[in-house]
Amino acid sequence: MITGMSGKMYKILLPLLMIILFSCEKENKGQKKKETYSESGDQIDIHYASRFQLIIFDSFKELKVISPWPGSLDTFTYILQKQNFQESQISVGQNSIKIQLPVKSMVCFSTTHLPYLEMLDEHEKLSGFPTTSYISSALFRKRVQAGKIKELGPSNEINFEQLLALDPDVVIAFSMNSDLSMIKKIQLSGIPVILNADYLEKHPLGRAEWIKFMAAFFDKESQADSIFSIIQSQYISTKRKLESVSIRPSVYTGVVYGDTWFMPGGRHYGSIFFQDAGADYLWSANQSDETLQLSFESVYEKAQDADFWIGVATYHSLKEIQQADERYTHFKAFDDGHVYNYIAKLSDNGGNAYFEEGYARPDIILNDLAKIFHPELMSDHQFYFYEKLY
Amino acid sequence: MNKQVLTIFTSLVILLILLLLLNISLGSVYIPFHKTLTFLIGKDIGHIGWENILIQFRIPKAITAILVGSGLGISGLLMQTLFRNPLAGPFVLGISSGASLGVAIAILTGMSFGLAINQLGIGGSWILTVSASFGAFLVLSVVILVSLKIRDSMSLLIIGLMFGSATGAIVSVLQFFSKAESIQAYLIWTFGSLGGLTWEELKIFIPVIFLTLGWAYTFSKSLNALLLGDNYSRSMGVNIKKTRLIIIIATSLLAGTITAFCGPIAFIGIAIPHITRLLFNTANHKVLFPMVIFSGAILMLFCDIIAQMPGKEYTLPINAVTSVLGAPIVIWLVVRRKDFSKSFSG
Repeated sequence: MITGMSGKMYKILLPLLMIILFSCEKENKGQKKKETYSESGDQIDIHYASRFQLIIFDSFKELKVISPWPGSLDTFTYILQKQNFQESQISVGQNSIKIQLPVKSMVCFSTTHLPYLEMLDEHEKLSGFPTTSYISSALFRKRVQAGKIKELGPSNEINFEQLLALDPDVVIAFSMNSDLSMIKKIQLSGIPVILNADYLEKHPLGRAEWIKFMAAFFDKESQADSIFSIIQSQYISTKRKLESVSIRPSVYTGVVYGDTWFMPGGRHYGSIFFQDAGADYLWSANQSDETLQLSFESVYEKAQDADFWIGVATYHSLKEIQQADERYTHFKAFDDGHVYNYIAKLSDNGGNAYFEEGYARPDIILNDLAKIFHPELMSDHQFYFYEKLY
Repeated sequence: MNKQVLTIFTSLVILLILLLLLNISLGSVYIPFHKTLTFLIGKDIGHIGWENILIQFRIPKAITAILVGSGLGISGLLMQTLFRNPLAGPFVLGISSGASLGVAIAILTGMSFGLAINQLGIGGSWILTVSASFGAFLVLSVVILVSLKIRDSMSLLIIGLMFGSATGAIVSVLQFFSKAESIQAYLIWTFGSLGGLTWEELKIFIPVIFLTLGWAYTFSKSLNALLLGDNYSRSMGVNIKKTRLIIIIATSLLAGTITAFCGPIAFIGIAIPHITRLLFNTANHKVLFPMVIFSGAILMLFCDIIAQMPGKEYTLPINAVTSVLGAPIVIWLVVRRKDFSKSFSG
């Protein structure tokens, strides 16, 4: 009976398996095909970001985005064609996507993409955004209210017809996993979609360096380079100032959800921020660059005597924290009132600048943190993203 | 028979105490076993951090595990008996769907309902509890009204299923229009949690579960009669309508309270009554009832030990553990006993 069943299953499953294997192979071939170019180009210098590369040729630019979602092994190649571009100059893989420059209208899928547009003075190019209520920037909010940025619905199920009606020159999207069905659907309609992976960068400056990615669409590479250089030098100068501090206060972050306390690993960008700000992050010895899922008691064991508790999700006051779980009050940082959160810049509609502008301005985040840990060294700096909870 | 039952009971009690001690002494943070024992008999162990972990984290969690395991086990037993259906569980009446809907409304509509509660002076952790209870109560009221009108238990089962689908659909629509963080908060609630209850919440949780379990036990005889069919029960002098109402109220109180405090805990409710029936080969509720309470508590304590992954800083969601562990046990027992359906008749 059992062998009969599995025999039947085998007959059903085998063709299915063959189809899956065959289609995978076809896709891989398309991606593996090497691009060949008849001209040689200049590679843009990228110091911290690891997920994109940009080479500028005479008549086009080659933009590569590397493993744009966690665990991805794919590299996506985008050809940004200048006005003097001729098809015969290149031969590219069939999966490469071509975009005609200059880009006159753009749709972005994440608030983290927006500050780069603002800093490059290209904010007028944004024509649509999913769930505009997430946006915290005053400049973009005004444009939403004026009807110049169209609402495209929730990002996991965008309003397809509205997007087609907008017909942007390019969509800057992101993906959390290998499900690219929505992106493929948009591409089939003739709108090129480019994946952005800024959220996967492991260094705070790596995230900010994605301004160079955005600049490629507007031929503003040199401007992006100077903006990034300023941010970089401000970050490095604060970091240097704090390298020699004699006392490094201990710090932990996050809150418990259900039974799990989400804590950045020792190689996570959150950990890098704390260490560069002259603090002793209690999980810095950990080798992971992911978020750790810890039990409440293990966090309590390690952090009960810590000096600072930085970043407490959506809590606005010590009382709210206590009401959520009485056990938070057993931490010394709570007792001492050394609790800070990144909620100083909340818009009326609930958008948080920390998750938008913060990506592009790690220098300000670092200055805020440095002021928390070493106020005597940062007397000139005013808190921007962070505030103390009472 | 009596001697055999006594032996089984004694072993269950010993197993429960052993697992309770293990559960309290094992966890992410290493605390030597003898230190835990010293602490439990009321002596000082000279380490305030460990004492706090035991008092504030592990003991409340162990108590919660015991109450959740027994409460859901009994809810499952009551439902399987009421519907004379092995697939029934504590949530077939739509109780968890109702609770989920309440929580979804609270979390996903930007906590506006939650904020209102907050202004009444009820703390943050109570928001989810209150909204879950409210949702469960709402569904329960409808089910009770319907149960007074219709006589057929099967119709109730279908109505419960419909509630589940309808609330599931409403939750999806709410998710569709919600922020990513709210959806995440909601999803985390659906993973279930035993460690979220502090002593403050246990002050309500313990008496509700205890009193309901005691009250339900007094109806064991009527439950036995129900298994033999409505006509037989009537001939035995059992008031079917009343018994049905009592079963529904008791199940709702147990499953509703547990879901409100711990989220929807999967599988235990369906698995425990089967495991108990198959292991101890009885359908007599007078015996089955306490056995389900013990087995439920034991399995839940065991699942929690695994979820805590002793010695590691990491934890697993409790729902993943209960399902992964519970399913093979039930399959193994069902395959081993080919006359499975007979365990549903007296």
